[in-house]
Parts: sequence; C-alpha cells; structure tokens
Amino acid sequence: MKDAMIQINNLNVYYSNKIALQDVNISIPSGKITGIIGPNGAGKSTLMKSMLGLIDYQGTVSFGRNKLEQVQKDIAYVEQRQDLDLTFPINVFDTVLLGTYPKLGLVKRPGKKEKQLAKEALETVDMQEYSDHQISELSGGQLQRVFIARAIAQQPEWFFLDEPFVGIDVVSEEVIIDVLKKLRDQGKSMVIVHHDLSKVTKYFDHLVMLNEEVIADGPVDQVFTKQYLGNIYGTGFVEALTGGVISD
Amino acid sequence: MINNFVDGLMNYQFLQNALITSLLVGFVSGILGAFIILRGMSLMGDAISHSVLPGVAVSYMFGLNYVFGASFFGILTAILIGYITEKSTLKNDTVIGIVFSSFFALGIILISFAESATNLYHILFGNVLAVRDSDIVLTAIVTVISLIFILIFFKELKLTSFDPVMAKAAGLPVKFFHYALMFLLTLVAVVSLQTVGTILVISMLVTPAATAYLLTDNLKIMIVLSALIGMLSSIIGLFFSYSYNLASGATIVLTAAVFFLLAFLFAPKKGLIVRNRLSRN
Repeated sequence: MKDAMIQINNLNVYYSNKIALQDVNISIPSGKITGIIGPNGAGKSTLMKSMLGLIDYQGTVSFGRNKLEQVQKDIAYVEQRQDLDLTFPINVFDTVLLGTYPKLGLVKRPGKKEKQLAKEALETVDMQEYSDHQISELSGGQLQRVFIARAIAQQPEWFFLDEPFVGIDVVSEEVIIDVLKKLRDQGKSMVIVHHDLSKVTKYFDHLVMLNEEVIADGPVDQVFTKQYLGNIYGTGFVEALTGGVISD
Repeated sequence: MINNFVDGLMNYQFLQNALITSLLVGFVSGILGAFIILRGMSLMGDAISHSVLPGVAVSYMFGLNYVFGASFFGILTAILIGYITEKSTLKNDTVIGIVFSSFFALGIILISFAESATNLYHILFGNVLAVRDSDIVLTAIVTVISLIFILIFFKELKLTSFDPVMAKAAGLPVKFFHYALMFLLTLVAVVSLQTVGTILVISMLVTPAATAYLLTDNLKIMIVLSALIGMLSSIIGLFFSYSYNLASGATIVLTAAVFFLLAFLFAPKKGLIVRNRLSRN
C-alpha cells in the first residue's frame, strides 16, 4: 500500500502576499488515521484544502502515482460544519444520497443501489430514524454523523475531515471515531484536521504537527512529544493542553 | 371585468400572445429562480438582467435579433464579476454593484443613439401587449432549453447548490454549472424584457422562488411551486394590466409580491405567525 500514500513536496501557500504555509514536505500514509494538529491559524485547513485542490498553491501533491484529478471521485471531503448552508431544503436521507453522486457520473440518476448505500451509511452512524428530518432540525453532533454518512456513501478510499469533532456531543464523537476506526481497519485512509490535543493518542495513528511550517510528522508515538509540542505551543502549556497523557 | 378580460382573450391575438409569453416567462423564471436563490445569486441575477441593456442597444444598431447582443453582454457581466472578485480583495456584492451599474449606464447611452424601433421605457418596464409571434417562439425555445437542462442535470445542480466545496473536491465541474446557470439566466433576462422589462426581471426570478421556499422543505416541490406561482402571478398581473391599462411589468411583479407576503405571514412551517407562536412556547 506504500505507493498509495500522499506525497507533498515544496508546498507553499500565500494568502494575499502573506505566507500561510511554508515549504511543506511530508508524506501521509494510506490505511491510517492521520491527524493534522496545531494552534489556530497554523494552516491546518489550508493544508487540507491545498491537498484537495480547493485553493491555489505552489509545489506538488500526488496520490501514489496519480495526480489529484485521477483520484478525486475516491476522495470524500467533509468541510467545517459552519461553512454549510443548513437552510437548504433537503432532508437527511437526500443529504446522504448526495455522497453517491460523484461515482454515479453525470446525468445518471441515483437508483436502488445508491439508495441502499445511503440507507446503510445512515445505519452505520446510527441516524436511520432521522431519515426524513430536515437537516436544519438536527443538533451539531447529529449533523456531523449525517455528513460522515454522506462520505461513507461515496465509497471513497480517502476521507478528509476538517474539524469533525468541534461542537458535537460525546455520543456522536464516540460513534464517529468508532466508525472511522472500522473503516481504517478495512483499509481506508483518513486525514483529519483537529485541534483538541487531549485525544490525539487515542484517535490518530500518524500526525502532522503544523505551525505555518511542519514542526514534526510521523507515527503518533514518535512525534507527539513534549519537545515538539513545546515548539508549537510553548513548553508551559503542554501539560494543560494534553491533560497529562504524553510521552517525553 | 373578468368577462371583459376573457372576451379580450377570445378576440384579440395580441392579448393571447401576451398571455402565452407571460406564462412562459413565469414558468421559466420560476424554475431557474429556485436555483438562483438557493445559491445566493439573487444579486448576480439582478446584475445580469440589467447588464443586457447595452446588448439590446447594440443589436438594434446592427439590425440583429436582440438575443445575440444581450446574451453576449449577460455572459460578459458574469465573467467580469467573477474575474474582478477573484483578482481583487473586494467583496462580491461590491463588484456586482460596480459592474452592473456601469453596463446599465452604457446601455442607456447606447439606446438613446439607437432609438428607432423600440423605446427605452418599454425595455425598462416591459410592454407585454406588444409581443410579436417571433418573441413567443424565442421565449418558448428558452423555456424548453432551461427545462431540459434542469431535468438532465438536476442531480448535479442540487449538489453544487448545496455543497459546492464537497462537489469540487469530488471532481465535479462546479464552474461549468455556475456559468451554465449564468447563461440561462441571461437568456431568461432577455426574453423577459417584453413581459416585465429589464428592471423588474429580478423579481420574477427571485420572488416566486422565495415564496415557494417558504412553503416547502423539498427541492423538487419547491421548483414546481415556484413555476406555478410565477405563472399565476403572470396571469393575474396581466389581467390587472389589461383591465386598468397599467404597465404589465409592474402589475405582474406586485402580484408576485402579494403571494410572497402571504407566504411570509402564513406559511405552515416557515411563516412569521407559526414561528412567533413556536418561539413563544
């Protein structure tokens, strides 16, 4: 599976002449849950968006031997919830069904197979009872589960999730991380932007620690250390931010 | 009075033409309008419908059908607004304000040079009672094209309207659908000139769709309702225009506004009264 990993070389991103990401050179393994962590304004979402070709950047991003364009249908992206229009007239089931559209191709309508995929995906996140509800009626956690279901219905190889655990209830967080780990065990790959340090060791296999440039990247047990965290957050705060679960 | 209107419809071809055209315009702006308001492009629709004016003038000067000139300027507006927004740090609504008022001003000057077959007042406010057969054909063609486009690409329009970022990440041609809608919007703006006039086209695109949005939670039903409300506003507006000798654009637009007001107050889930009662409990 090594040839399927994401390779990022000499990546730079500028926002109106101010540098947002500098000289990023990393690889992200497939079949793992990779966390992108760092403080506010570190460029976490920016890194994710440039990998997905959603913003302009300098440098190269490749998916195994492929360019982004060749694997896009196999990429499910769940953006930050606040960026979505929750007043749109659409119910939970149809929202999940949207996930099947990219692989369906242009013009073709979702049929039995797609509806079955959507139904199963909803069951995976335990939201089937809400099938007919409008998305505007859901809580933050329920909504996030629905968007995870939409990503699952797409049957992608890669999941890109931007801050999926922000502002959601404990049950939803557990359901989601559980589902993601199962998918990982089936060989799927995840990249997750995350800023709460207390659960890093529980959630992630691999880490990219970011603060406008890459501070460290690698397996969690090797890079989630006081030294690197201190480089980002200042040594005094590490204990408080991580709740003590940390190796030296 | 209603008898008088029905008599008129039986006897006068100009009134029949007016009715058919305004029904078509009500229908097509209704179905397109649903996507326009959901994509937050109402202001863009307003801009394009104003910006076709110089195109109309240029077409008259060269003796072309006004569709060509108007489409050209409509699309130019959409592209220019997109380009300036991308290449500056200005907000989109500011750029829209600058571009469309400039084109509109240019149109007013060009029209005063071109003044011959038509006059500015009719272009601005519509003159549905002077519709020619060729206008009906044109309106019908635009309606059919728009309907087919929406039927074929309903799925893509739904996804790119709701979540353009996810759609782009998954490789859908989001830009294509944006510009295709802009193009159809331009065509609708052009054929609506006769019925409601340049200034009021935006109302036909936005008001029935917004009314429908308040009445339902389902996109398909919203589109159907929007088309029905658009057509109903057209008939009723035309009736008042004919009966009281008022500008058709104004009567149609006001009728649509009355429907909107009713929905705003009384809509079963999203109406003001129900919402007030809910928030009090």
